[in-house]
Amino acid sequence: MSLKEQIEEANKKAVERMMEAEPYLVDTKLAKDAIPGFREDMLLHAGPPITWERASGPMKGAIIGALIYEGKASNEEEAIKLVERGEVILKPNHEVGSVGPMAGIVSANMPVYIIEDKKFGIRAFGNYNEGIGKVLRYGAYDKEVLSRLKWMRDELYPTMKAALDEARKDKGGINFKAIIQQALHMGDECHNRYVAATSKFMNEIAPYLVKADVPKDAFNRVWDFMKNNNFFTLNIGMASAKAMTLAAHNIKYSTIVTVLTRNGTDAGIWVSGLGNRWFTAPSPVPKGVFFPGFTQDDANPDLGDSSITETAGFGGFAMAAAPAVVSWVGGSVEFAVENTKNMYNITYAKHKYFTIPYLSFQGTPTGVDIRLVLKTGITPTINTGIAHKKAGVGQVGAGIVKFPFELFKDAFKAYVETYGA
Amino acid sequence: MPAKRLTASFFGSLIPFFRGSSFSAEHVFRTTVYLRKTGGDDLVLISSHRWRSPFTINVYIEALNEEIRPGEIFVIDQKQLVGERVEIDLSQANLYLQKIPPMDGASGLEKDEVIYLSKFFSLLATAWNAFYRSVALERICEIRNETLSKKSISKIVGAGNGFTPSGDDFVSGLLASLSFARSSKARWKNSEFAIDDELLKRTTWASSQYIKLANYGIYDELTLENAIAIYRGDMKRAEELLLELARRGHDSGLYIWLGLITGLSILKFGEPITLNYICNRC
Repeated sequence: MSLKEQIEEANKKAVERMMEAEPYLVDTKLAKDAIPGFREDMLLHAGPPITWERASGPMKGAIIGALIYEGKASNEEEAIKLVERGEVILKPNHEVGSVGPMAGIVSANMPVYIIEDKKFGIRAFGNYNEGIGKVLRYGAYDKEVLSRLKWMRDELYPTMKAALDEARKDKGGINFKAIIQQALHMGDECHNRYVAATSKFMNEIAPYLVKADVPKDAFNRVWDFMKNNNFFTLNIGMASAKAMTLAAHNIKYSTIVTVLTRNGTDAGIWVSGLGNRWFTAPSPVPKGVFFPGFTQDDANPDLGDSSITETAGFGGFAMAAAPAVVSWVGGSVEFAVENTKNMYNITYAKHKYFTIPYLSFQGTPTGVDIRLVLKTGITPTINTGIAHKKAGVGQVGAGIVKFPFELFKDAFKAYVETYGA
Repeated sequence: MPAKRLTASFFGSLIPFFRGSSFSAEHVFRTTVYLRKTGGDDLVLISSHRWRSPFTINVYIEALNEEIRPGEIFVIDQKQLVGERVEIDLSQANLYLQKIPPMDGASGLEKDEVIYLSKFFSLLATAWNAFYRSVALERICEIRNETLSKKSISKIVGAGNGFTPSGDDFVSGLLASLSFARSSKARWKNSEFAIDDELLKRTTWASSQYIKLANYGIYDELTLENAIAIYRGDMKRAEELLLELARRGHDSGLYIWLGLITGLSILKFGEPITLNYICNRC
């Protein structure tokens, strides 16, 4: 079999598995109990590996906040000393099958969602979403941020757990692929717009919340939190995407990208046929729409694992399904449509299940092929939140960003060295 | 209605030789217009591509096909190209001279580097669905061990699809490399063979002109830059330029590069290294 045929066969298998995966939200646990190999002195983060010294402002802010949340430090100074003494292990989420938006910090006692792929038996994890603005994932860590995180652990988490126990007993969990599929027909692209997905999720979880018989006050607070946070299901969508891309990962000869991510300093990718080898380049600064009082000068280079959605064939790649998202991330409706069309040039397939009504129900562009990126010079273009470059401030806007070409070129070169003989 | 006035950014060094001559717009595409000399075969291009050549007039315009109609007549005068609907001002434009820098001391890419580039190219070419199944590649592979001659080249000229058939693109690249080696006073062994009108009749007018010009040592800047990088042994640049050239046209750039590296590796190593690599994987 020629190399071309081997690649073709491998890519077909990888993308088929990505599309056929069936991610269900089955449970929620504290990170230390859910994620294999998690250690008390460990913090998971978004993007490729990073050291404290090279970390950007928002990443540092989130690390500080997580250490205070865990009770390992009582203030910023103590937290910084702890990290500088090397007493904290920083590890990328992706290396343990997890994902987190923006800084993506996950600490031992933070609750995580457990996604189970019913088709291939793969598990993936994602942390909880705090809402927008001043939140830990954007590098804020004041009293308000920390008390919200504690409420999420002490009330939201047990409530969700009780409801998911009921959902699991009833029908094996919540089928989140079906929710994404429907949300794409309701104006979401499922990266920066989760309005429909969150509503659908609330419809799904409501009977189980009732069945779980949680205290009425807790029920009301949890319900209000979900209702008032359109991004509530972003992290579930991301963990679902992680399960889909894990199904496509580690397939010999495949040139399909299985991770696209950023940590605020570097952007990084994985390629299926090259395993867990990171390819990195400086993370670009997003351009977009800013909250009142902030400008482009405040923007940090892009960060977050949320581009796992585009890796799996939705999010920014499905912007043509979500014209309203441009009011959040900037650009025009025409741009949203053009971006989706452009991404067909660098993807292996059109998704079998995720379709776009405006494009005559064509499947979304799915499975970035590093060869096609090199062939065309087009790189994945995604939408994203924008963090302030200083630690402690939080989210200042949302926008659009392109992954650097160098990532794909380096990966291609590594592929030539690995398989080119 | 007065003609629309455009301003050229560059014009090639062959253009002044055509002053007073008239041309017809033989092929009109979005980014490039092919002008054919009235009563002759000479080729002049109007192009919005940023790469230049001795026979090209470069303009900044989104869509040339919205301004120029097929069959439109143009005359090149002292300072402008005058058409019926469009006039292109050359007075502000820079002259593009195809300059080949001194190559003294250049040792060229080493054999293992050419092999690496061959692997890089081979893998990249898998992204072009038709490349490995093309008639042109099949024929190129058939003649790869023959001595370069009019007979062997005639098997490739006109082979394949496209405005410039793939076989012609390969031959253009091959001839560009051979003429590059000649004009750069290469220490590498020279190689020549005749390209005559009979051979050129086997293909389209535009394609035959590319072959003829390449044989004279006249080709575009991107092809030249590729040749220089390979000849100087600048691996990083060679890789970058391969990517740029590969993106030209449907698959024209792939075949031009294949011709170019074939010529240069025959001259330096006495064997078509990249072709051997590619053909063994067809």
